[in-house]
Amino acid sequence: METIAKITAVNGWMLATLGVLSVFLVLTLLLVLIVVLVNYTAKREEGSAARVQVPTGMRVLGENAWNDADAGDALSNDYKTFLASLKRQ
Amino acid sequence: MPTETLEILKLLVIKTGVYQLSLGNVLMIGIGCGFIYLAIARHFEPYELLAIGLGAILINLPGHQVGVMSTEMQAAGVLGLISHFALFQNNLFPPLIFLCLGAMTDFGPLLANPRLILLGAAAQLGVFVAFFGALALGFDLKEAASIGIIGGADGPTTVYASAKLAPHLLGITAVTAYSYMGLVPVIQPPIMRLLTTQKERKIKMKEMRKIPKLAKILLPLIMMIVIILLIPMSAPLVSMFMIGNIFRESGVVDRLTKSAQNELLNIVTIFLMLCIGLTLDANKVLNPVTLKILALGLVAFAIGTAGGILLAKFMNLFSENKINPLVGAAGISAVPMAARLAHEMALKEDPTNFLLMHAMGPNVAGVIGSAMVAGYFLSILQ
Repeated sequence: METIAKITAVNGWMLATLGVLSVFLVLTLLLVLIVVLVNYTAKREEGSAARVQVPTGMRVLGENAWNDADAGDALSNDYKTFLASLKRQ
Repeated sequence: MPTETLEILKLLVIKTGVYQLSLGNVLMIGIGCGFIYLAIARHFEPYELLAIGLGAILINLPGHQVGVMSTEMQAAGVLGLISHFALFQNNLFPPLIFLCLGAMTDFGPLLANPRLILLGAAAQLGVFVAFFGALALGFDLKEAASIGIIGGADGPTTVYASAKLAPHLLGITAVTAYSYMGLVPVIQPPIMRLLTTQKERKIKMKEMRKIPKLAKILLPLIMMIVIILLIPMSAPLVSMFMIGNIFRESGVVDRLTKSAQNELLNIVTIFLMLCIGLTLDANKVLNPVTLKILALGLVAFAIGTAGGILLAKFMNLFSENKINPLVGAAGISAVPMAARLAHEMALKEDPTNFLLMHAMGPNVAGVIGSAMVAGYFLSILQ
C-alpha cells in the first residue's frame, strides 16, 4: 500500500485514471450481473407461471389435495376417470 | 466606585460574548442566517441547511464551549460529545445514513434498464477533475481527494471521506456538498441545455418492464458481495446501504424498514447536520482555502453532470433504444433532486414525457459509484 501511495503521490494522473477505470470496471461487472440476474429471475417467473397453467388442471388439483381431503377425493375420482379414458383409447 | 468593583465589572465585560465577538464571527452568523433563509424561504435542502445554519450560528457565538471537545465534557454539551465521538473519532453518522437511504431505495429502475448504471459511473468524472484541480491549487493528495468527493454530490460520502482523509476540511467540504445539492436546480439546467439538443430532450424512453421480487432481493446481496470484494474500504458505506435495501425488499421486517426510513434517518440527520454546522467556526473557515473549495466543488458538480450527459449521448450512437441524455445528469448522486430535475426538464419540452423512473436508475447508481470512489481513495491514501 505504501508503494502505491508513493507512486500516486508522484503521478496524480495515474491515481485519477485508475480511479475512473476501477469505478467503470466494477459498475460494468455489476451491469453484467444485473442482466444475468434479471434474465434468470424473469425466466424463473415465466416457468412457474407456465407450471400453474397445465392444461389438464390435474397438477393444480393435486397440489390442493395435500390440504383438502375433498379435493383429494375429487382428484382420485378425476384421476380414475382420466385412467379410464386412457384405457378406452 | 471601589477599584475591586471596577475589576469585577471589567471581568464581566471581558467574559461576555459581545466583547469576544470578531468580525469573522459576525460574518459566519450572517452566513448561518443565510442558510436558514434558504431552507425556510426557498426550500433548498431544508432538512440539512436549517440545522447546519443553526450550528454555524451557535459555534460563532463566542465565550462558550458547546461543540468544542475539551477535558471538561459537560461544557462541550451534547453536540460536542456527539460530534467528537460519533463524527470525528468514529465516523458513525454516514454509514447510519446509508442504512436509511438503502431502506428508501428502489433498485427497480436500475434492474429494468441496467445499462443506465454506467451513467452513474460517468458522473464520477467530476470527482477526479476536481481532485486534479485541487492538486493543481496546492492541496495535498488527501485534501484533494476529500475535495474531489464533493463532485459525487453525496453528502454522507463527503462527510465520511473528509472525516477520514482531511478532518480539518470536513466542515467546509460537507457544507459545500450539501449547499450545491440544494442548488442542483440552479447549477444543472444550463449545463443540460448546453449539452443537449431540443430533439434529444424530447426522446421518450422505452417503458420499463416489471421486475420480479426475487431479483430485487438478490441484487443488493450480489452488489454487496461484489463491491466489497473488489473495494473493501467502501464496505462501511456499501454494506449499510445494501442491508437497508434488503430489509426493504425482503418484505418481512416492515417495522425495521419503517424505522430506518423515518425515526433513525431523522435522528441521525438532526445530529449530523448540527455537528457539521458546528465545524463552521470563523477561525477555521474564513480563509482563501474555503473559496478554492467552493470553486472546485462547483467545477466538480458541473463536470459530473456533463460526464453523465455525454456518456448517454455516446451510448445512443450504438443503441436503437435511445436514452434521453437528460437522465445522464442524474448520475450525480443527489437523490432524488437530480432525477426530479431531469424529469421536470423533459416535461417542459414534452408534457407527455415522464422520465422520473428512468432517471432514478443512474441516480441510485451514482450513490453506489460515489461510495466506491470514496472507498478507492481511502484504500490508497489512508
